[in-house]
Amino acid sequence: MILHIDMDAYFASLEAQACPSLKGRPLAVGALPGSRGVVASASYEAREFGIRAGMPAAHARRLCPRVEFVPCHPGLYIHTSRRILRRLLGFTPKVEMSGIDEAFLDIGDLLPRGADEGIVWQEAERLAGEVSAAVLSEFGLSCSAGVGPNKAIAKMASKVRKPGGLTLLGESRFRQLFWPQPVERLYGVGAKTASALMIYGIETIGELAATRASLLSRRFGVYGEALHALAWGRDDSPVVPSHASPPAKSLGHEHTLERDLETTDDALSLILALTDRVAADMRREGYAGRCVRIKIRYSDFSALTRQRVLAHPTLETRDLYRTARDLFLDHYCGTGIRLLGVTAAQLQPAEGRAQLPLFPQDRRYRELLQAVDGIRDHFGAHSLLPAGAMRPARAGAGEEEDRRDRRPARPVEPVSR
Amino acid sequence: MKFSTSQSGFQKALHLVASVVPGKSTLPILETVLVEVSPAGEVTLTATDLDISVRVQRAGEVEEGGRVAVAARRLHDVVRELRDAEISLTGEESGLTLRCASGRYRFVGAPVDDFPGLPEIPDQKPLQVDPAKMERMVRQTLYAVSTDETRPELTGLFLSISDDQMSMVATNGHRLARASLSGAFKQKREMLLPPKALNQLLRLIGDADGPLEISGSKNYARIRIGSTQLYSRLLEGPFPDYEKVIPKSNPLRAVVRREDLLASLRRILVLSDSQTRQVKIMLEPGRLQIMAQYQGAGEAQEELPVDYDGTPLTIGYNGGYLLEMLKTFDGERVEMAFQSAVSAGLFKPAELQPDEDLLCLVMPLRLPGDDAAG
Repeated sequence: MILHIDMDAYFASLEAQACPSLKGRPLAVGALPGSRGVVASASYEAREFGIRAGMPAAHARRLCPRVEFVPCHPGLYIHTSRRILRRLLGFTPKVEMSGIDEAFLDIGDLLPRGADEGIVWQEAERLAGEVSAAVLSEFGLSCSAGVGPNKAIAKMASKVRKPGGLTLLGESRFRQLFWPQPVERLYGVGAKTASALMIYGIETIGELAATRASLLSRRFGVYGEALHALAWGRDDSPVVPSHASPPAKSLGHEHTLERDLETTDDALSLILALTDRVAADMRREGYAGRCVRIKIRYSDFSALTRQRVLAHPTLETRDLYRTARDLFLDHYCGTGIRLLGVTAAQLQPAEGRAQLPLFPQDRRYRELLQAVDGIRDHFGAHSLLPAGAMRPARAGAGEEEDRRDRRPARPVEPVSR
Repeated sequence: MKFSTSQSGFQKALHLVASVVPGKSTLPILETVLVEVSPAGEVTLTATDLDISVRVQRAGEVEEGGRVAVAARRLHDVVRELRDAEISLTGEESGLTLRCASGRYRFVGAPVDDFPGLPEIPDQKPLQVDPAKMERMVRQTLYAVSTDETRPELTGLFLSISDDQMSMVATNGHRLARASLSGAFKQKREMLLPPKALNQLLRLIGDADGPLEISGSKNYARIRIGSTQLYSRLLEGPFPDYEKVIPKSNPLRAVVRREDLLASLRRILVLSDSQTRQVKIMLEPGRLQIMAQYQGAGEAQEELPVDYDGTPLTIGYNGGYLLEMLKTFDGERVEMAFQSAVSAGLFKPAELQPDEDLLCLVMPLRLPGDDAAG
């Protein structure tokens, strides 16, 4: 039995918590109006006006002129997400974080074995209530819970009653409830797949279930078979505990700018900020990397990606930064920059990186990184920044994106960019 | 310009200069060799890649002086294949014509004034060193330079000369090698030489026909070996203060046969982690054990006799570092001195020439489960 926990308007709730005067008001977190960015999260009060995540800020303002716009604070969201994960691990070690604000818990081991089905569901409901209550009381955050026989049903169940709901869904109840609904409501189906299915006259989940699996696999390959099974409420993907997830091949961050960057100094400051975050992620997740990659998108949308392989794998901010900086200086063509990204690739486990340094200054630098990581672990990633990364030009933050490349654990919808 | 010379001598000189010619350059002039002939009977060949230049002088029978620049590789490839003892060369603005008994070859010339000038280096008080000793010092240290471009100051070999000593030092931040030579040098000088120049030097030393002289300016060094000169741009420092990290007293001393240790490491490393190359060394009176294991590959363990009577010590190393270092040692035995499992181990050949010294430091690898601070 799987329990899915989905935080309600996660970013907006955290922002309202940080600034109580925003509580109960329509709130849009993300880009500010007048900018070219989009809303990352909207409070339920804002959703009543039709404001949704992914919507341009200017559009949101038109829908509700009195909506409050708040910039993103990714450090805060990530830090809180980690604290919530730690709490959930108190219930069962089988917790898989799925994105920053969702988690699957395999609660099979916590339920009575061989008991009457009614009693098992009753116990699952009690447990789900207990988890939601713990999140609310300890973090002051509301979440919705869904319980089902597998991950797909649990995830769809948590969406049924939001915010603050709790939904139990068996396979037959799932079919009854979801088969009349449009295919987009199916876990893993996006607009692209939905329009591809439309060509075959498949508009509802029930119609998808009634389509022969062989037809779907001819059109969609392995993903087609998975789609058919999902429509029937079948999903055998396991809960992969976050600490046992497949190893990352690369870790990176990129930043879309509010206003184009025009000077090399401003660009280098942003590269330092991004590298600092990449390096901190690597150290926290236990990776050392051998390859540094930068991405520059100019104001005319032309983009370039350049990479350099180091002599040794490293997890030190300064090595990664110097390489990213040199790459930038070697390839920057001097015009306005719209987006910058830094990625570390050719990752390998850092356990073996036990080589002690010869020079005391290198030893001190390692100690410094350890201390910085410790402070950030305690007070959040946003609590300490390199001074060189704090330039006023970037004060109005744009959109930041965490990019990590892991082998997909299940067939996912093909996405074209 | 017109001169004649022996094919073998000219080929040897061309071979030396052609080795600095870059394979492909954005500046076509760098792919040429500059041939200069003085009426006094000197034939000079010069090639450069702007960082390193080599100039070789040879005697020839000169009828007329002059200068010409022609494609270095082509000229060398032809001269190398000639079977004639004597060749004669005539240069004019448009190129160079080579004549010998078997035929005639004309090489198109490049604008000779485009050929980069060599750096001006004051000729005062060059440092004189025995080429064989210099070669040994370079070989004993060059392997230890860093290849990590993020720390450019560690990618060079540090040459330091004081009144009575000359040292060469290389480090990559994990290990260090210092070779020293005593002598009446009577000057103070420091320079950070790029490995490319030293590899070139090793090539030139093999052909040395006289003493070796080193002189330098702020940005360049010149090394003269007989009639051959090597110019190199210097790297920017500062080189780290390495003296400070040389341990003053490492009380745990051990002596082991070099060949035995080297052969043992070669075998053990086969079964070490290919990334970390970690080996574990366990010392106890009379016994040295080397161990390695690599998940999925296996494990290895060997035991060697050792001259040691200190307290037992277990220490981890990158076995690759030890191997590279031991290959440069001469003599039968190696002296090792340790303080702890987290401080630098000191290695040197037990037998050294009276005027020479060699000292190597290698920092340990922290072994799993070993949580002492480093």
